[in-house]
Amino acid sequence: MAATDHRTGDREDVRDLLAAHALDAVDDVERARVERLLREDPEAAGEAAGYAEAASRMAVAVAASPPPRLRAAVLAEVARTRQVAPASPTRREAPADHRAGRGGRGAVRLLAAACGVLLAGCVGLGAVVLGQDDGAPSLVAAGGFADGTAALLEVDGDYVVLGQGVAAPPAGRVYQLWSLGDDGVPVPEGFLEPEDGGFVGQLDDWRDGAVLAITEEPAGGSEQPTSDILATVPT
Amino acid sequence: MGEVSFLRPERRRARPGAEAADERPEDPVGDLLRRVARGDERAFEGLYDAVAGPVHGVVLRVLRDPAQSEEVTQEVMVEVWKQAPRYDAARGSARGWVLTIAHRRAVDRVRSAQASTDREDKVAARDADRAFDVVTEEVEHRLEAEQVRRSLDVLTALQRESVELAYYGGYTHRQVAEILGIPLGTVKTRLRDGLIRLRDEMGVVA
Repeated sequence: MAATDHRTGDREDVRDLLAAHALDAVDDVERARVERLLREDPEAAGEAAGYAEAASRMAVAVAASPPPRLRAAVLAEVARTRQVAPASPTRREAPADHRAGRGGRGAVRLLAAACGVLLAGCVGLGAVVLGQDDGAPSLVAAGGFADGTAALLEVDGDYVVLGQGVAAPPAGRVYQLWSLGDDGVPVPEGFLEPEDGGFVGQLDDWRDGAVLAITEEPAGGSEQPTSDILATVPT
Repeated sequence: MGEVSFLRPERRRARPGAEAADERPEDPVGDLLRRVARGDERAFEGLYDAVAGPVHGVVLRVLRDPAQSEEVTQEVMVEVWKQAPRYDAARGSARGWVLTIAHRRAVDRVRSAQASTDREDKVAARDADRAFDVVTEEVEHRLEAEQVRRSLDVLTALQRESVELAYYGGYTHRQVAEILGIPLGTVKTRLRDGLIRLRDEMGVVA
């Protein structure tokens, strides 16, 4: 995994965002950086927990009962909805159960919904990101994918895959992410689940220079790609 | 699938303010959520009754449109059901976890709507509403809500303005800075100091 503490000052900058993060007042790149800090730094995670608790009280302050019919609708939907498996420590230990961006970390689970925002043009985003002087997240590469765009970003040593305007896979199929190294052997990197055409996935362990590839696979994923490669993002 | 481990290295220490809430001997919402994590639908009904008010309240506050808010509230509650096995008590209270999901989902909805309409639209075009200009009729936990509203009074006017724009307005800290015409660093400071005050106040109130 990427080295930590290589930029102490940068870490401080991220730490300054903990309160904004608790209020969801950060953009997706900042969110990824904060959540990485929270995984690595228990003290920061403790501080964030206090902020989150404070923020959630602001929700309590405006509590309003939903209409009773909603309860029945929710219970009916729950009765036919499967729950996720508990988190496991790293994606590679349980590849079949993971999707990029959700791998073992509940904290990123809703990022997918956020990318509708972020990717109002990931190239545009890349420009924004590249323009930042501090944490130096950068757009590594971008390419077309499923009527939309996929991009690979480096955020402070983490790699994040983003999609925009992406068509959902057919029923019973999933988009699976692979890395292709020099040896050309595809390594499964998790799944992408577009919501409202967007997705965000975090790659835990990206190899520099690898090529990102996306295929469409049967639900549950495959050990080896079984479809044509839909997109490659050379890095 | 491979071996699944649910163990965490150690329980993380919460900050003093949060501890008071965490250390209450009973956390009914947490108990419900742990049962929900095991697929207990009856427990989910109890959980729904315990959190639907704040969930819907915050979603409505951010989105303002009742029909859309109902839709998002439903999505959030189903998401809570789905994700319950991933809830990690070391990262915060059960209710906090649920409300984090709710707020983020509402904000995501606002931002993707903004993105799909016109990103050039200046954020200032939206009203910078005061958070409590409308008191909702249907306050479920009226007493607690009242207490929490009072606890917001510990914030200075400037802190409160920034915190409310961020949380209830669904704006990023950059947008808050733009709306208020103040430096980004100032916004970050107000958000942080505001939440610290709120957190410490909660410790007393709880």
